[in-house]
Amino acid sequence: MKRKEVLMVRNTISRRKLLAGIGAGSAILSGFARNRMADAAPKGNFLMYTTPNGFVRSAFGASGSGDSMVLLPSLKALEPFKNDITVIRGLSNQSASSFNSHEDMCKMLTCVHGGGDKSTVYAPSFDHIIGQKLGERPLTLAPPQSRGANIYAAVSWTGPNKVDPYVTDPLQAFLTALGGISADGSGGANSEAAEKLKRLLERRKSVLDFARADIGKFRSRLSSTDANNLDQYLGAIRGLEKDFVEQPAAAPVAAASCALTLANQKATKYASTGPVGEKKAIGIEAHMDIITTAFGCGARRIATLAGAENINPFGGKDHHGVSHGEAPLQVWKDIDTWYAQRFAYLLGQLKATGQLDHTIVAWSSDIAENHNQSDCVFIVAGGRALGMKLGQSIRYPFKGNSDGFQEFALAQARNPGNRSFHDLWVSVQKALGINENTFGDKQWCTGGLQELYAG
Amino acid sequence: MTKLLNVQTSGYFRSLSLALGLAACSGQIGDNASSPPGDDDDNNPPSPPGDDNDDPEAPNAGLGPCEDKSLSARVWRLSAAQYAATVETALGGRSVDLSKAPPDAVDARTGFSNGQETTFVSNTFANTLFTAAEQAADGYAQSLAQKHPCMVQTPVSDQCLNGFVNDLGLKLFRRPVAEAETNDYLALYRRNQSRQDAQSGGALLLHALLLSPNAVYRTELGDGTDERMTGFEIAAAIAYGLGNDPPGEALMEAAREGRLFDAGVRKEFAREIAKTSGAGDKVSEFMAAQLQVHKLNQQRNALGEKLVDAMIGETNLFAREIFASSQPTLEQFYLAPVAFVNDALAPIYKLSQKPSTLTRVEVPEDERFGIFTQPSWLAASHGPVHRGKLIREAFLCQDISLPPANAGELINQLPATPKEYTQAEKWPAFVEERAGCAACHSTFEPLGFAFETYDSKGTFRKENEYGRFIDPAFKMTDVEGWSGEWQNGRDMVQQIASSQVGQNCFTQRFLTFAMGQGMGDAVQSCTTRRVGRAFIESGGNVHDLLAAIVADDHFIKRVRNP
Repeated sequence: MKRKEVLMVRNTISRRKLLAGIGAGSAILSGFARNRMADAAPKGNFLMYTTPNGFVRSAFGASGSGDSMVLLPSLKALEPFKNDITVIRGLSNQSASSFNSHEDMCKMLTCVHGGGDKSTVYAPSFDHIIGQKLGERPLTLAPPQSRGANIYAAVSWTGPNKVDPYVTDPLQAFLTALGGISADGSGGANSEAAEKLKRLLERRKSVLDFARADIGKFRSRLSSTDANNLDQYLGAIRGLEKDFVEQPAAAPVAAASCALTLANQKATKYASTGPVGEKKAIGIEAHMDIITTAFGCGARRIATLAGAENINPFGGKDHHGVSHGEAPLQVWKDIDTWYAQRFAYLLGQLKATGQLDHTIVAWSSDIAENHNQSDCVFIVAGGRALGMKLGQSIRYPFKGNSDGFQEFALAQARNPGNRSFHDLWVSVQKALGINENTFGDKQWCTGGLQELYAG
Repeated sequence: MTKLLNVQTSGYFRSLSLALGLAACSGQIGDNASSPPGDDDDNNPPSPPGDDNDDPEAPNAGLGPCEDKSLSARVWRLSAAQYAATVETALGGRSVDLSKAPPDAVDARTGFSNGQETTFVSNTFANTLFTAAEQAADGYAQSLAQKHPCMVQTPVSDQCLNGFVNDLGLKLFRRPVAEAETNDYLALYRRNQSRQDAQSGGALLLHALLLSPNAVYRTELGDGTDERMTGFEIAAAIAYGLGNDPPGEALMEAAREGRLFDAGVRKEFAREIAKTSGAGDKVSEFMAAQLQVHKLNQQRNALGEKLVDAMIGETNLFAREIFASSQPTLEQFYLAPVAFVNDALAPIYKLSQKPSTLTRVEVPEDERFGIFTQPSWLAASHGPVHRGKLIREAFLCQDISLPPANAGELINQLPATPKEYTQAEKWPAFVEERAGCAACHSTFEPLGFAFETYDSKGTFRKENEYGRFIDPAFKMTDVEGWSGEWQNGRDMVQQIASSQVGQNCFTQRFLTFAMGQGMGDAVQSCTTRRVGRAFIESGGNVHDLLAAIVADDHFIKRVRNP
């Protein structure tokens, strides 16, 4: 075989940008961070996970409760978390606009009909309202593939028509997430941890300095060809010094502690390779890690995470087109399944760090299968220690026709027999310690979903 | 019906006769006069210059002069699996997780990803290595008081530090640590001791040892006194060449005593290593590379993770089973009617049983045979072009030139044939109307016709998607010294397995895989010829192949280049 080219079968994803300023963790600090996670977030956290373009209902939902609970195919990835979730079907947004489509993403967490215009926001969103009441600043993230907080994708609003823009870059997301921790440790770190971090960074510097000299001596024995090979290692050592010593040393001590935990979780994942879907998964999962770490470190308690609005993780027809029948229905189901796998990853991270029981995570889409906010499916996970009832499926009957469009759909959703998003947010805010019986438009509130939260 | 194809070797293909005529003899077989004391060259008997076979009836007799050439002195980065196994052994079972290290690139010249020339420490590999080594060092240091009590006493003595470095260094470097090196580590510890507690100090030393190029690379440099590698380098070459584990105590002891310069001793160690699971892993990696199973990763979305994992897992289990059996022969690898099936693979094998884990099953001989009917490669390589090309390159070791620049246009202008025709039925029109293309394609595509009875996932079928009966019979003659006339795929593979060309190709390919560099074919390379002869005489026993590789004189010789 005479060809000289080398076939690269991998697509390396650079993690340099992500890890600049982060560093990777040691067992010492990992243990420290785990302890902190257990101590730092006893009050309860909230995360809204939104994915775009609706779900295929026939495969997305559940029946039964407890051990006999059966998850429909698109949610099979949640099987290990059956006892940590409640699958709700039958909620509608009775404060949707009369247009009632993707643009009503902005109504999902605001729940105020106002003038009824599409693409118009009349109130702050749930995350900001509870954030104000709890004295917390919400974190608003979307994966790097997102096109930003446009009207089809924005879920978090600080006030009427005032969007809270998504942070999409993982590094920026990390810095934003941990911005609440002060450098003196009052945000959570203590002096012992700071001292440990200092010693660790000194140790790393010594190790890397030694490795550089060691490689130099080794290299001197080699032919020019092999010396070039060792030069690659030498160059990589210089990069390690920047990633693992210089940048963490420049970061606030407590932030660096959390950074180490984060990098420990993901240091190798960012170097992993795989098919296109996996790379896109990494984008979302990176943000899930950041949120997990921010919650664990006590830096944040409230967050939203949105899937990129048009991404088909498998390539081919975009997600929106798929939801309009431009690809076989199975493709849509596959995308739902893919998002469920990411959700399972998030739950796994929260559970592994001991946070799921005091973190409420809600997952839904901007619209239901028929491009309206009627008869929607929500997955609510976690929060057991806060009083959430889990390990069940809840089916609220939808009165009327859920397949209509625009004004007709809104009129159907407003049937007095239907339950609204409003009550879900009422239940969540109660679980988080905000004992109020309404949220958004009061006329659609009935005091919460008793089946989900009895408090 | 058997189709007849008389292939005319085109000008750009190297024919066997041409190679025989042009190959130069620059080597001396069994040159005992230049061998140091201790050499046992019973594996390399004296031969007349330019002829490696005394016995005209022996395998590979009559191939003409060959070249006895040593590889250059070199270093070779351990694979992630080898590094992990080495650290785990050194640290008494504490593992280091490099599973997420980026995979090494496949060398298009060899099809292998473990080549000495193409493996290096990339930035991403270094990142993974640094983190994994730090975690392993911290974990190990937590039991420092039990494993190295003197390391937690105050002050830590030089003797204690020497012991720590020499003990762990011996296992990680696969050789004793030189005094100057030990002193460097002592100095590193002393520089940091005021800032680190005992546990951190131990972790610091271990982290530095784990990142050392002496741990990350294996050397084949020798000590400069002659062209041989050192005993410890030979020990590492045997251990990592035939498996993924570091040299064990017996091999290290033999290295220390200088016994590994003896070909017979090396052979014995090879036979022992062949019994280990590490060698099974290595053979499994080789088979997967032969079949280009890595291409399946590009189909994970289309086929699903579970099915792809099952396909790859089957090839792994099959190769390991045959290698560990009482008949680890080429014929068994190529023809054994055994499969490993789980619920994902069961539909492809048309089995009603759907075990949750990969389970051994015996399959009909007329449908399934060895690695060649495994879904892993049949799904990774579709159609007669890709399948035939792979067989010709990897199992007959015959070169195929790159297609011409306008190949894409020519494909779009192929002669119209009834769509329901089988690939073999479409072939005569292709030969007639695209004679230029057919000159090349005829040397490999017919090999792929034999597998048209397997669809794109590897399901056996007798008819194509249009219900047309598939006749896999075909004939090729005089393609670089290999001819075949077969009734079906099994028949064709049987002929490859029993041919000298097929057996020498397996030898050549495994030699390349084990040595990390191409050694040349049986016409060019005396080493390949000698090893191939031993392999053929053993009845194609792969354990004997491993023994023959390490016993060859050139396994331990390296030439120093500037």
